[in-house]
This record gives sequence, structure tokens and C-alpha cells, in this order.
Amino acid sequence: MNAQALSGLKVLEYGEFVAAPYCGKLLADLGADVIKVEKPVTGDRARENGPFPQNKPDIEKSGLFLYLNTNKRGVTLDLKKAAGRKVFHELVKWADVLIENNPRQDLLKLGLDYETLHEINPKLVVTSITYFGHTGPYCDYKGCDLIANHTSVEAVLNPCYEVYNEDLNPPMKLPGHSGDFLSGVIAAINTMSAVFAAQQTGLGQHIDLSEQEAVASIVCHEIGDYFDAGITYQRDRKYRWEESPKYPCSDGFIMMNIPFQFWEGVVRMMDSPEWAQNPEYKTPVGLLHDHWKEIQPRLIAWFKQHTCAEVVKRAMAQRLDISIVQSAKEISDNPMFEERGFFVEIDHKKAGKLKFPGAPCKFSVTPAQAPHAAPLLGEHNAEVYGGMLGLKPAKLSKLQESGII
Amino acid sequence: MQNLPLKNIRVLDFTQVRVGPQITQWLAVQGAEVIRVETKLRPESFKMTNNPGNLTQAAKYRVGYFASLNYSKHSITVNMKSQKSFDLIKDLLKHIDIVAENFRTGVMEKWGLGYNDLKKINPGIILISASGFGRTGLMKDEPAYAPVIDGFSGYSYVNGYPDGEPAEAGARGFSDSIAAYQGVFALMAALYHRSKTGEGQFLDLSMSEADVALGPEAVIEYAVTGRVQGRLGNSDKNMAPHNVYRCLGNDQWVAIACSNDKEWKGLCKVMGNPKWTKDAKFHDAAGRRAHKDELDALIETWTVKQDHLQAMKTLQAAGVIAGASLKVEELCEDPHIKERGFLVDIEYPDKSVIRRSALPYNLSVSGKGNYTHPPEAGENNQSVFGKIMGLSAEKIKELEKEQVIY
Repeated sequence: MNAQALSGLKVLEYGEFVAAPYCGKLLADLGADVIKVEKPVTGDRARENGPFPQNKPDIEKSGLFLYLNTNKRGVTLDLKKAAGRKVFHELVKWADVLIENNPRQDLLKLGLDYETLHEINPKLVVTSITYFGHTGPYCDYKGCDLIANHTSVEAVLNPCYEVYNEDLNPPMKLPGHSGDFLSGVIAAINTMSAVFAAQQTGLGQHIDLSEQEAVASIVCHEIGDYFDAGITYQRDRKYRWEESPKYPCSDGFIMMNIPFQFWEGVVRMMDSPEWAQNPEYKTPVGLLHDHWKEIQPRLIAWFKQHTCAEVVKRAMAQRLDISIVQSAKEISDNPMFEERGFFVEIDHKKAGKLKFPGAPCKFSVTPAQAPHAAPLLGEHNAEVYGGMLGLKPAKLSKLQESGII
Repeated sequence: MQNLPLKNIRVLDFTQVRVGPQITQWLAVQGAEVIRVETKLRPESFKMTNNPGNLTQAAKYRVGYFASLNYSKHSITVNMKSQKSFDLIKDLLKHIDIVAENFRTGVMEKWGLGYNDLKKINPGIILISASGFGRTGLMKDEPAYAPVIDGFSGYSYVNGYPDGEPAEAGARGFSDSIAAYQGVFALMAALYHRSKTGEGQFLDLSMSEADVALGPEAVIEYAVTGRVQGRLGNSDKNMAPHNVYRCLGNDQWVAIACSNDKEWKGLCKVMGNPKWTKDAKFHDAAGRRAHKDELDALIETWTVKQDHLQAMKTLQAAGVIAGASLKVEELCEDPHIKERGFLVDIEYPDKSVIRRSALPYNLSVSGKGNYTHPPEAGENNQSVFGKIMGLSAEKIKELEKEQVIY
């Protein structure tokens, strides 16, 4: 087996749902030793989220949890009790990095604020993910993915439509928990940055990541346009230089960019109908400005007479920039992903075999490791507390009896 | 120069448009010396794109999209039609830690700058290649701009109102951004490996794979249940209420979510506990979910009389999850965003200033990173070829005259 890029990096994860666990997963999939701390009995909230096989809720079979926690070791610990916090401090001494996404006030109440953790382990990098950050007037505001999307401008721009009517088109969040996922990868970048700083200085530091800013960072062009020219965007295409790339086919939708240089290919794709060969379409202004309003309906009419698969086949023969608007099934069965080995099989003790998305990037020397399934609740208690921390069996059973682990 | 974590890392940046520049921008903000390789043969396409009115050609690089993605970097110019330029670049590569590119598959190889060539020049180099569909496989030669990746990676299919069509994501270049962030993390991991072993490697970043990995939920649903998930708009499988509600004024909205009964009671109280909130069907989450549309309409009878920013504050004070739908101009003037330093003023040598959003990079000791002006093409020719490569001023002048440095 090849070495892993992050072999030797020791990570403690005390977070739940999506953002902190996704950050932990990114590190774990590249070889970091990630110990995930969950509360006893119910565990990470993502265990209740599903989707579940046959729709039967089971904390060991939640799809979201199983995706987000591959390659981690899992322990349970009640941090609300002093004895639990004492064990946690031992884990803090072990770790290079702590990733967490708890409300700031909860950490203060548990005595797990950065200053305290820094005293216990001055080398520790602490990555905190909250919805609005640890400073500023909104720092203790509650949030969820919906809020990260709406307070970051992203929702006000989404969905981007040709024609938009304020009454019918309220601002809309991105699908799933995109803001939380995005915050997870940004947290992982910040974490590695602080790990490099610790290599140089021997000291850890505190990362204060706000999900509002994480999502707003993808709105950078629109923010720049506001400061440069006072442009304010809505959910329409008013300030977009390109036409809507979405076209309806007989059995679904495709996305296709038609810049001027692709027009000849588009004409050939349609078997060169006479209307499309109008000489006035042969300049960028003629095509995209003067005549687009008459061209677009004819294009749509042509698309509607064909299936997505047929359009894509014809378009790709002309080297056009196109994709079907793929559903989850089409993505899961896509031959290109298949050929590149993108999907991986997870074999979980309770949930069985699942085909999940694999590594976001391919490494030539240190490829992402074959996934170990997410831990059962408390699966590694004995290994971590007994083996790694060296707690005696008597002490372990005492902690177990008192419900601390 | 601040003492930033990547201060000893030097990057040769062959990228353009969005995904590539967004990757190297992260490195530059963390203190890496990012050297853009540009040419006077033709300008960077984003320097010509969407620049607000009537600017002189020379002023254009200072504003617009190029500036948003290329601050904190340096620039050299070479003539990619001259063999001597490649010799120069190959010499420079001996001093480089990371190379980034997002050309079509095969362009770097054609120039003798593919990973196998780079490895021979400098085995410690990490090369990241960002492309729509990866550098191997059935679609390696296909072009890909953001909306096509939105479609391919499944975001568009699930992005839309429950009763509406699939849609492009809101922020421009959404799928480029998230792939870029995945690429930056991959680079950080490869740097960590190199810090221990001295070993470089090749990172093949496929935007479509990076995006499915970051937006996997519909695919997970399919893997676990065999169901193909449709569009959910602002709603959530578990929480209700969980939506956006109209407020006073034109296109003003507040998003509200209740994750438990306590928050629901908090919401009821803020709304003045109207009679309808006592209805048994709204008493638990299952009931609220089952009567979601009716519930949303009733909540809106309250919000429609509220200012959206004030509603956010009042609800949050009562422990309810709420956030105003901020418009660009509202975010840019928001006191919280301002106090946290998310907006940065970047000064040019002539003292003119542009304002941009910072990266969400916020470390207690290392700080918020390095923000310097986006470079003019060739601005750093003297320092890169002189200080890094040790060429004399005369030699540089000669290469300029021969249009090698160009």
C-alpha cells in the first residue's frame, strides 16, 4: 500500500451533522488518524438524518452519516460530565488538530474555549466552524444551511432564470447542505494552513470560520461588481453576458454553452437547417445580439424534438460544451465516472454495501485510501480509551456504568 | 511581509478564467509567492470580461473579474511561441514548488511541461491540473464551463423550486468555486506529504468529481434507497418551518427554521402567539411537516408586516434560527461582515484602491492573510528573472528585446 498524504496527522473531531464531519472526512480519507467523539446513546445528529434503507430509521444506517464519517475511529463521551471532560483533555493532549462546529456559548459552558484548550496542549490547532463566526454582532446567532445560504447573497441569486418574477421566484438556497459541505472543505484548507504554521513555530492557533463568509466567498464576482460599478444582482440574467445555457429536450434538460465560436458546430449538430445558415448570424453581434431572440425559440423547438442522449451524442461529435442535467441515477451509472473509478464501495457492518462518491481529487503518489466504513456508535471505545490512552479496564467499566462512555 | 504559513512556497501559475486562478489565489493569500505566467501576445480572457464601462485598456486589469480572482499574485510575461521562452521557464521551474494549470488536456505536454517533464526538472514539484472531466478517461478532451458542470455533477437537477424546472446555480461560476476549494485542499495535503518526504506528485482535479463529492446527497439517497431525489427548494426533509418568507418592501425576505419544539414556541411567541399556532396539527415536527404549505402561508401573514433585518434580529434574540436574505449591497454594507474584516481594501502602487471580499481564511496567529494588488502583466519580470533566477539586468533587457520575455 502506498503511503498516505496525511499519515501521522492526529485529529480529534468533536462536531456533528455536516460541516465539521466533512472536514474530518477529507483529512481521514487522505490518511490522517481521525478520532470522532460522539455523545453517548444518540451520537452525531447526522445519524438521525437518513436516508435510511427501506425508510426505517436506524442510527447505524443513516446515509448522510455513513458518507461523512469514512475512515474515522469513533468513540462516545459525555462532555457534560466532569469525568468525561477529563478524558477529553487526554484526547486533546494526544491530538495535533481539533475540529469542531459547536455553538460558541456551548464551548464556553463546557470549558472548551480555545484559551483553555491551548493551555492543555499549546501545539493544538483548533478549527471552529460556526454560522456567523466567533466575533462580530451576530456571533451567537443560530444557523443551519438555509441561513448560511440566505445571509451570504447566494440565495438572492438563486435560481438563475431567464425570466423572473419576484412573486413567483423567492430567493432559494442551494440544494442539500451545500453551505455546510463548502464550509467543511474550507475548514480543511484553513486547518492544513495552521498545521504548516505549527510545523514552523511549534505553536497551534485558533481558526474562526464563519459559514456565512464561506458561502459569500463564492459570490466574489458579484461583490466585486458592486464595489466597482454599483451593480446589484437578482435572480435574473440581466447582468450575465451569456444566454441561458439550459434547453429542454423531449425527455429532460441539457446544459449547453453556445459562445459565438461554437455556432457553426451547433448548426452542424442540427444537420444544417436552412434557417440557421443565415449570413447575418456569422458575426458575434449578429448572432448573440441582433438575432438571438429569433434564434433561441428555433433552437428550443429543435431540442424538443430530440432526446437528451441524442442531442449529447450529436453535440459531442461537434466538440461542443454540453451535458445532460443528470439525475443521481445518471451520475451513479455514468460510464466516465466508472472508467475513472470515481465511485467507491463502502462495506458497512450494519448497512451493507453502498456505492458512494469517492475522492474529489486524484493523487498520483498518495491516492486516497480505500474507504473503511463509518464507525458504529462507540465502536472504538476500548481501542482508543484502553489501548491508546491506557485507561485500566476497571476505570473503563466505571466510565461505562456511569454513562460517560 | 507577514509570517504566513506558505511563505516559503513558490507557485508557477499557468491558469486562466475561474477555477485555476481561484486555486492559486488561496495559496497567495496564505503567503505563497504565486507567479502568473502571462503573455503580451493576448490578454487573459477575464481581463476583457464584464468590466464596467469605458475603461482604458490599461485600467481594465484593475477591476472586474480578473481582480477578484488574482489579487496577491505576481506576474511575468513570456512569448509562448518562442523556444527560448520555454528554456527560460524550464530554468525557473528549478525554483518552483507548485505548478497549476487549467488548459485543455494535452497543452502542457505539447509545451514539454507535462508532469513527466516537470518531474525530471524538479522531482519535488506538485502539479495540479484542473479540468472539467479529468485528465484521463472518456471525456478528458471535452471543454467545460460552469453551467455544463452544474448539469453534469447533478447540482442543477436538484437545484430549483419543488414544482419548477432544474436551474443553474445562483452565484456565477459556482461549480468552479467548489472544485477550486477541493483542489486547494488537495494541494495542502500534497504539500504536507512533501514536507515529510520531499516527494512531489501530480494532482488530477476533475471539476465534475470534486463537485459530486461536495454535493453528494442525491447520490447518497439513490445508493441507500434507490430513489431519485427531486427539487426541494428551501424546504428540508426534517425541519418545519424551514423556508423563506416575504417581508415588508420589494423583494425582501427572511429565512426561518425550527429544529425543535422549543424554537417553534419561540417563533410563536415572537409572532404574538396568534390563535392558529395553538392548532394541534402544528404541535410537533411531524405535524408541522405534514401541513407545511399551510404553516408557511400562516407564518407569512406575520413576516409580511416585518422588516427583514429586524425580523432576523428579533427572532435570533428569541432563540429562533433566522436570517435575512441579504442582497449584494446589503452584505457589502452589513455591520457584522464589516466588523469581521471580510471586505478588504487593496491598494495599487499609485494609491488607487479597490474593495473585494476576502477569502474565508481566519487564523488567530497567522492572521487573515496576504492581500496585495492584482498584478499588471509582466509587473514582476525584473524580480522573478533577476532575483529568483539570478539573470543580470543586461540579460533581461536582451531577452525583452528578443521578445522572449514578452
